[in-house]
Amino acid sequence: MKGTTTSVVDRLVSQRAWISIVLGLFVGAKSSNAFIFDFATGGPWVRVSDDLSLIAWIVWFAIVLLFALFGSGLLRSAAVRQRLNDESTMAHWQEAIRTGFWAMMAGGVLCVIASYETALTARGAVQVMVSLGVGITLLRFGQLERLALKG
Amino acid sequence: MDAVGDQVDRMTRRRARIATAMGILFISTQGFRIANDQMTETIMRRPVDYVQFFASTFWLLMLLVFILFGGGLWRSKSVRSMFNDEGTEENRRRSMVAGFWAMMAGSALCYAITFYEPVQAREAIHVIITIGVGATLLRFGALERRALRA
Repeated sequence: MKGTTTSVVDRLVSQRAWISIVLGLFVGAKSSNAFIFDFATGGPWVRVSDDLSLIAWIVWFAIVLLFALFGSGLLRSAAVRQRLNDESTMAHWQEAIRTGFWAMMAGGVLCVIASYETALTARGAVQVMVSLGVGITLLRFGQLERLALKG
Repeated sequence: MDAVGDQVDRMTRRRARIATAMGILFISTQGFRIANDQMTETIMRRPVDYVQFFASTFWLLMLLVFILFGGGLWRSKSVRSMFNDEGTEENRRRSMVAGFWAMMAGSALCYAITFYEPVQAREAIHVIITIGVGATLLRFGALERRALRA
C-alpha cells in the first residue's frame, strides 16, 4: 500500500514538474512574442480584438488555476496530497514566486522602456508583466522540482 | 549579550521600523502622485516633472536594493551574517511572496479599470510596482517585528 502511494506520488511530482515547465514556457512566450513582433514591425501593441484578447486571458488563467489546484493533488487522498505538498515543495513554491516577483519588476522596467519606442497600452503592459511573472514562476518551480527529483 | 549582538539587535529593530515606515510612505506618496498626475494630466512638461521622475526612480531602486540585501552592506562580515540570518532570509522570501500576490491583484485591478476609463501604460506599471514594493516592505516589517517579539 505504502509502495503504491510512493509510486503514485513520484509519478505525480514528475508530471507536475514537466507540466510546470511547459506551461511556464507557453505563458512566458506569450509576452516575449508580443515584444519581438512589435519591435520588428513597429505596429500597434494589441492586434487582436479586445474581446478575443480577454477570452484568451481567461482561458490562460483557467489553465494555470487548474494546474495550481490539481498539481497540489486536489482530487487525491489526504495521504497523497500531504506527500505531494511536503516541506520541500512549499520551499520550492516560495523560491519560484520570489523569482517571479523579480521577473515582474523586470517586466515593468522593460515595459516603461518599450513605451517610449512603441504604442504600448495599459492592458499590453499588464499582460507582459503578468505573463513574465507567472511564466518565470512556473519555469523556476518546474526546474527546482526536477532538480529535487534528480538529487 | 556581547557588543556585536547588541549592535545587530538594535539594527534589526531599526530595520523593521524603517521597512514599515518606508512601505507606508512609498504607497502614500506614489499614490498621491499617480492621482495628481491623473487629475492634471501631467506628461513631463516642466523640468520639475523630470526631477520628480528621477527622484521616484532613485527611491524605488533604493527600496529594491533594501528588499534584495536587507541592509548592513557597509558593516563587517560578522555583523552582516548575524543581521541577515536564516530567519531574516525566510522573512524576506515570505514578504516577496506577499509582494508577488499584491502585484497580481494590482494587475487585475488595472486591467479591470481599463474597461471603464483610459489608463496610460506607464501609469498602470507605476501602480503595480508601487503596490508590489509597498506590500513587500510592509510584510517584511511585520514579520521582522513579530520575530523580535517572539
